[in-house]
Amino acid sequence: MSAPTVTQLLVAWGDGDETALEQLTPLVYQELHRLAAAYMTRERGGHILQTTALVNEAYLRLIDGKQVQWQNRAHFFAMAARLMRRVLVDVARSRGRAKRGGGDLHVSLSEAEAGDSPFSQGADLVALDDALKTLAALNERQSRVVELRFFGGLTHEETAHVLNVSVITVRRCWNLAQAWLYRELRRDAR
Amino acid sequence: MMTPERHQQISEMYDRALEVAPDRRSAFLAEACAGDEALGAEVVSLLAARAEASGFLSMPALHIAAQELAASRPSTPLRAIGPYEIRALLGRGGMGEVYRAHDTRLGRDVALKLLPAQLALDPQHLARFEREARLVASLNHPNIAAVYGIEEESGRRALVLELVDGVTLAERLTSGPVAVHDARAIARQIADALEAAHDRGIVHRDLKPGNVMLRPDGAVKVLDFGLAKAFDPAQVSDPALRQVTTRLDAVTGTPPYMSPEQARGMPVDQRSDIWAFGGVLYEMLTGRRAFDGETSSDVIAALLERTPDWSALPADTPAAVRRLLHRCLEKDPKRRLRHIADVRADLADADGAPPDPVTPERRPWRARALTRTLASVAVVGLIGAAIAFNGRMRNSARTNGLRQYALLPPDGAAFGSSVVDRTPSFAISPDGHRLAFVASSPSSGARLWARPIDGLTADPLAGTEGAASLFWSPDGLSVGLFADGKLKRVNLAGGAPVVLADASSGSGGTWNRSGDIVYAPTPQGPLWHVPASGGTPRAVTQLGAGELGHVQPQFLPDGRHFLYLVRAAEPRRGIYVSSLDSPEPKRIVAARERALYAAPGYLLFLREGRLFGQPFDARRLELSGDAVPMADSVAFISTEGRASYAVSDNGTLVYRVGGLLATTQPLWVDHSGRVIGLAAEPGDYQTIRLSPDGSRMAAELHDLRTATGDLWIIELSTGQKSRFTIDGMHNNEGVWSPDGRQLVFVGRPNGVRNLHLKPVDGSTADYPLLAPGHDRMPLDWSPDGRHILFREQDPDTNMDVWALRMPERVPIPFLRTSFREEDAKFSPDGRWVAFMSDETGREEIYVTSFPDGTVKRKVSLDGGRAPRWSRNGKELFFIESNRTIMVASARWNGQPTFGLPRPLFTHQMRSMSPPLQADAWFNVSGPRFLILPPPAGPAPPAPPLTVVENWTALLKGR
Repeated sequence: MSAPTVTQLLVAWGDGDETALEQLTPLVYQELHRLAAAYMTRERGGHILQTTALVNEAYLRLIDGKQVQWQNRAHFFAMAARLMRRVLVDVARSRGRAKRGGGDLHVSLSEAEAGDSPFSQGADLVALDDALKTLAALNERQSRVVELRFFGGLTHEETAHVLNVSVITVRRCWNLAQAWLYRELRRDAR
Repeated sequence: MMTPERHQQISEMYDRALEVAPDRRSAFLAEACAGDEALGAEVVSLLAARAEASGFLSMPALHIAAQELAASRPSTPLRAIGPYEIRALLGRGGMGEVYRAHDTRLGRDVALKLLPAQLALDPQHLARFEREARLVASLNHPNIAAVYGIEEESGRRALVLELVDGVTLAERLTSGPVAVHDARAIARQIADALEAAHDRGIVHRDLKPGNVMLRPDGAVKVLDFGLAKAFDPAQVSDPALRQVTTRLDAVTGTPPYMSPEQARGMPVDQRSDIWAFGGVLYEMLTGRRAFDGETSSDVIAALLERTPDWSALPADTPAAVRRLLHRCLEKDPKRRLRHIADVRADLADADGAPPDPVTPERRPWRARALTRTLASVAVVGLIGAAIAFNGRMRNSARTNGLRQYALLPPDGAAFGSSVVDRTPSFAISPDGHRLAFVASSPSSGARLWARPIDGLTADPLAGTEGAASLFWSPDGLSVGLFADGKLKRVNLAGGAPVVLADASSGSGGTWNRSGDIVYAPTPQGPLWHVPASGGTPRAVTQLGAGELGHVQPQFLPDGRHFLYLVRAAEPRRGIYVSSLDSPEPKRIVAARERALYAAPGYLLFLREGRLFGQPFDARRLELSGDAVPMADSVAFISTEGRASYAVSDNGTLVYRVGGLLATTQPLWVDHSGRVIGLAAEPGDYQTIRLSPDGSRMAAELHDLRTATGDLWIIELSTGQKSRFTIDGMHNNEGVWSPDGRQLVFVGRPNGVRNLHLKPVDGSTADYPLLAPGHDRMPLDWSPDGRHILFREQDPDTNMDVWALRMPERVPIPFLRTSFREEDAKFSPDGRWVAFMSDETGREEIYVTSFPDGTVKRKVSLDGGRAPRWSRNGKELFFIESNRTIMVASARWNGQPTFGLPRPLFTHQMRSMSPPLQADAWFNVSGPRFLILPPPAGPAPPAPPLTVVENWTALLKGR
């Protein structure tokens, strides 16, 4: 019997099989590292826009909706977006923790040299995740639009299909959520 | 507490507002949200966030996560940026990394805040950032963490900041509220910092406990002044970059300390800082925020609608402090406390100290309305009376502490003899009431002006054109000055200036109660004496061996002894005391610029632009105790010992910060004037000189903060910069040897420019090519390496061109007439020299044979400077009217014959001394020109004068 496909695993996870997640997570990691490696071979900065195609490929490899029965599609994409959110936020959280572990104020120079660039703000996806939870309590739909669009990589139209609402509703939700989350993330912790 | 129902209401109103044209949204919201102001404000706030958030979340999370992973590869170790050696990482936050670093030039530790590389990718943002940073760098206050400048190296940019030890107020607040007494002391210092900034028109915008450092000694330093905007990702104009930078933890408008008008998206002024100040004070006293909530919406609703919980204030909060909090946290900015200076009374009241009767009204340059003007004048009158008749009052005013404010030049005028005068002359009357200063305007040139220090109007004095180097009469009625090659005195009450003596290049004077004036007629000789009523001048000092000149005298209180600066090589250079009665000099302290005696017994002097005060016994003529730094970045010019500060007998200090120069960038331009490339990064270039192979450039770069200039070698292909000289002494042009391995440049170990030689790789130290003599500057090096042309300023024959035979170092006069000869350049075969002479009364280009000078041709017709030969010698380029590149073709028949010069193109060029900054480089495809344009964009604001009352408090504040 061949290994289950990503599609099968996602559907299984969506049906409550938590062990499916353990098999899914490494697949996302693998794509993530592949993508990261692609960036590293380029000059940093200045190539932000051209990488869109790469990201889309990565999503396609992970979430190929073509294999899914149409009545399962909504469920499938929702689970895929949730998977992305979970894995990527976990990555960010662990990296943020590792970074803070040394104690920011008295890190020796050698540690600083081996450390991260100022952009590896792992904590930001974590903060976004927290803010999304708050938003979900206020408006579930707005929060899910962000999950599908941002974490799931879906278009407005795909998101509208998944949520079974009009595209104009998705646009409105997205617009407000963007503003609301941006403002929330700007709040300084102190 | 935000509810889903309320959120839904907000969402719907937001959607409706979006459907309205942007310019009608305010009106729409005002009407649609009538009776529910919080709803309107909430929507405005979201719309503002949306406007800034363009691009936010628009790239998938996978992309961002992968980018972060990619960015986490080990970066190149950072060891030094410019003269700053990295010592340790202090912290890392959204705004970048902060390092402790050591300033190898000034021997002190600083903090370096690295600008995130992504922000540096956006030139517009960068320009704004640098403008903001420069403005903040002009702030100089003991409670403001100073911005020393911007340093950059290989594309990494860092803000150089004062290093402050201690904890932030935010950290302190995690352990509970601050005792009332301590909170007041902290608040007072924050208020002082804000006042200094507000006086300069700088709004902090992000005052919060995390930006307030508490030093172990009790001093408070406010951080990140005005930088909120500079670091604000919303200011990044490129959406693609903004996407990245929004992930940084941006700092604008931290809601808990945000003012209602900020929340409404209205423009921000100093009153928003006052609101935040109130919030910080409240939090110190109560240990909790004045306005808080789970989400930004909750915080905004609270700060718009609710009053802080006043009952949370501790019982021992003085009434004055409670009143103050109410006035700061007033929601309507119009009814809020207007000027931060006004909090002092309340905070001081609470201390049990006598209130300062004049404080609330003394904001001289802020008060503009007529009524306020009249009020100020009346109060100033009162102060005068109080000081004259009530000694106790004067003393109490002194112990009441420091006041610091800015003084602007008269409308349409600039301080100093021209807008680029970095050390304008000014002097404060002994009683501290009036300021005499030189200011210039394009229409009327430089004149002497006088104004009451607390008044609002300044008046120019007739007949004082060209005034420089001012000093007061002891009675405060007259001013001594130098103009037209004479020492003069002028009565401020009226009347024409009276000529007292010749003084070709006056370098300071002083006037005692017996009517003696001691002055320096030139920077080159001894000091002289002349009676203020007129008489025959006589020298009162004698130049010792190795001394170049005595300058900048100042009488000590006994009216017989006087301080002065001896211009000489180190270690002889320094401050000395001599006397009218016996000319035996006594050395007091090493210094490069003038020192001043200041009552009640201090000597003030500069070190690298930092002003120090040290106890000085004027009778025993001895220093004691420690030198305490009081102010940074005071403008100075070491050569003549000039330094921009003055002090009165009653504790008022006036100074001007230096180093605010504009940025320019050398350009490559082709023969049609088209810009074909940028030659190097932006900087404050003073001179540019290409290496013979065109691969490198020697450039004098000016240092923003210290007013020093050094030569740098810049690799044009990579932009890599290396410092060539380190003395900061404005080394002017570097002239390359034909093999490109050595540079002749200007050294001035004793203050006079001389020719120095050093290998470009810095492998050996520099050495002078000639014994010290007249002022010299290198011009060119012959293709065979045998002769260096240099110009020399000879008082008898004016500017001359000499040749120095190498390696014997024998100087040979080459162009030596009573006219000015300069800008000499060898032809490619080394047998001819193109040069500038003003023998016709106009600066024109000539070519003459070298070394005999027997054949001479005039090349230019309408003036010219800075000649450059093409590689084959068939064309001679020069600059006409400071901005047009001209070319004259040469036909050679043993001797050159030049055709009529024709213009190639016109380009703005920075005009310095030497005047024209352009160079040429030739390859097979034709000439390219390296051009230094004048500083681009709006010039940074010229620094005002800083007035410090009760300056002795500065000695205690550190």
